[in-house]
Amino acid sequence: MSIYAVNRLCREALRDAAFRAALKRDPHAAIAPLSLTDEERSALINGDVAWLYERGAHPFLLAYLTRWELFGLTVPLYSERIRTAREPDPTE
Amino acid sequence: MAEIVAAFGVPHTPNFPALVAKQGPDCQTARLYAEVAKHLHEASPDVLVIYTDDHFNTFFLDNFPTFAIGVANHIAGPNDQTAMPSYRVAGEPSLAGHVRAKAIADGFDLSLVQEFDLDHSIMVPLHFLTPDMQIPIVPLFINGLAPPLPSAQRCFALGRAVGDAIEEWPAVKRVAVIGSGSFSLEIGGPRIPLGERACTPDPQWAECVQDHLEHGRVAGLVEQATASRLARAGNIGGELLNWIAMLGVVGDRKPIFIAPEIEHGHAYAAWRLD
Repeated sequence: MSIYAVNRLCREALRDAAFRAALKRDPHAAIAPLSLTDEERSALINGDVAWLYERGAHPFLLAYLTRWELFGLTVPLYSERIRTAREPDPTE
Repeated sequence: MAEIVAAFGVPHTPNFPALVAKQGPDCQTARLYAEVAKHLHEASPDVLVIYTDDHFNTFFLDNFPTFAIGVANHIAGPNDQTAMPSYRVAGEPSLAGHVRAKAIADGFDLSLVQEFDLDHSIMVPLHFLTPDMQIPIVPLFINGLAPPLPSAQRCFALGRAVGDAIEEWPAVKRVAVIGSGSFSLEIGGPRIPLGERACTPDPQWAECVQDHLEHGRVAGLVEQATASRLARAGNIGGELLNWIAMLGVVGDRKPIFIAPEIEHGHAYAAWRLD
């Protein structure tokens, strides 16, 4: 259930200007202390929002990342990627 | 005893305050809110009971209620960096506590929230409807965003139970009920078009909802608003549940005013109940 940490990261990016700046400056270092799996870490670093969505990251929260183009996610890039996502398994 | 004098439905799109500040009072958004505000002030309510869905701001996924009621003396917002003025509005803890007790006795287990602030979903409607913040509010939260959502039947029944509780409140007060949100909206999900953050994926559903509202067919609306239908309406389509709960006090009455914006997947509406 560590996808919870991904959702939380998105909200903290909205709320905490210092965390947001750290994500922008050095995303690897900023997410290092978070409780994430290796796969989640690499999906974030690669801006793989479809993979994160399929594992339960909430799209309302994920879309925050485009406001500051965190993890390289511009609106065009985010939309291109999320459109490839399958619906997540609601039982997970 | 208290009297339910009116009900209203409005969107709460977070960029509306900035949009209206830029485009002025003659733009469509300003005019539609002003029309609802006119009906609200004609009904002259003493308290507003408002159904809304928190967008992970008042609550987060660590602790996310399906149904909750705000029992507080004062409430501030917005708490989500919406581009709009900050406000502080009085709560009505006497009514909120009464509704909570009655609803729980009636089988609706409302979570209690006493120290909280609010996001755009209540503050945007208040910004347009009661910008002087002189009418106290009771916020009722329904999970419309994090599936599984409560069913439309359950939300409608909650709305009826809350309506009964309001009418048993031993205060000589006029109460209005508001439901806030969209009928069809996708934010950040797979159905957004290339280059966009959001869209209205299901305008046909928005039109169907509008038609049911216009003709007072609440039973038909509740029956059609299944979990899969709401999901097809977009990942924010569950906001219709706020309207359905509000309709608990309306029943099959027709609105005195309704204006759809189908392309945006929402509508503005007013009912007089006195």
